[in-house]
Amino acid sequence: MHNFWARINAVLTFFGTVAAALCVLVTLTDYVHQSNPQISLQLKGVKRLAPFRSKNDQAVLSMALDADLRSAFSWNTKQLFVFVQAEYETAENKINQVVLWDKIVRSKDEAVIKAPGLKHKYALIDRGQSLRGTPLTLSLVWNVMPKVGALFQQSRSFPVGSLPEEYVY
Amino acid sequence: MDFEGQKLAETLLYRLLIVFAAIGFVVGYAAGSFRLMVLINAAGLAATLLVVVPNWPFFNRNPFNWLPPLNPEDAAAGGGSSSTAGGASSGSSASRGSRAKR
Repeated sequence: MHNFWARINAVLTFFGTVAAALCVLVTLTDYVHQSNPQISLQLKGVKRLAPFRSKNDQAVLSMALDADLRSAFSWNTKQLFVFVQAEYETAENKINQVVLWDKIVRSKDEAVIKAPGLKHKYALIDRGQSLRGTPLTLSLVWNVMPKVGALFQQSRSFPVGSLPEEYVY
Repeated sequence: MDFEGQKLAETLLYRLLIVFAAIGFVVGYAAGSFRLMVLINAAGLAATLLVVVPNWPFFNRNPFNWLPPLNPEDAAAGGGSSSTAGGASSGSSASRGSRAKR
């Protein structure tokens, strides 16, 4: 503290320490943040269920999504990565997860998603031919990207019944 | 900046930065605005730099009290005179002194 540069150094380095402590505190507030999103995700119909390149099954779904994710935003949220995921179980693999659609929600204003005719962005193709008659669960997953702190993920699942027993063309 | 001033500057910088950070956190959380917290902290940093870094007069209220200066020429002259006086007083003491010098 004896000269100009020593004092500048002391102020800036201590500010760094304080800023780091603030970041930890801000991260802790995300643990007490209450989020209660209103979500409805439905399977409207199966447009197509057919072999894909003769070795795999492909399903083309028609879905309806109505979600209000505004409450997922806390003061520390930068953006949400939202995606719809199909989950099912086969004899070969207990857990199958296929992402069908995604969206980057950058602000609270964009967090109200109304898609009565939600189409695939990515194809639902099974590894194998086990889609027929398989019970399907559609999940809406939102990955929260905070301004400071670790990413975390929350989701809500909707069992939507089984796929058709026979191929649909 | 004197010693008391340096101590004051250090105390001030700790307190100012912590107080601004605390205010920024509480206000930002209450308003739900991360940006507001960052702005309050930036203002706190600017204010702290302004208060602590320049050598303001209030950091110089306790000037140093240096001891009176020692004149090196006076000290050298005093030592030389005492040794010559000892040498002149008696021959035996002078020989003892010369042995000690080796």
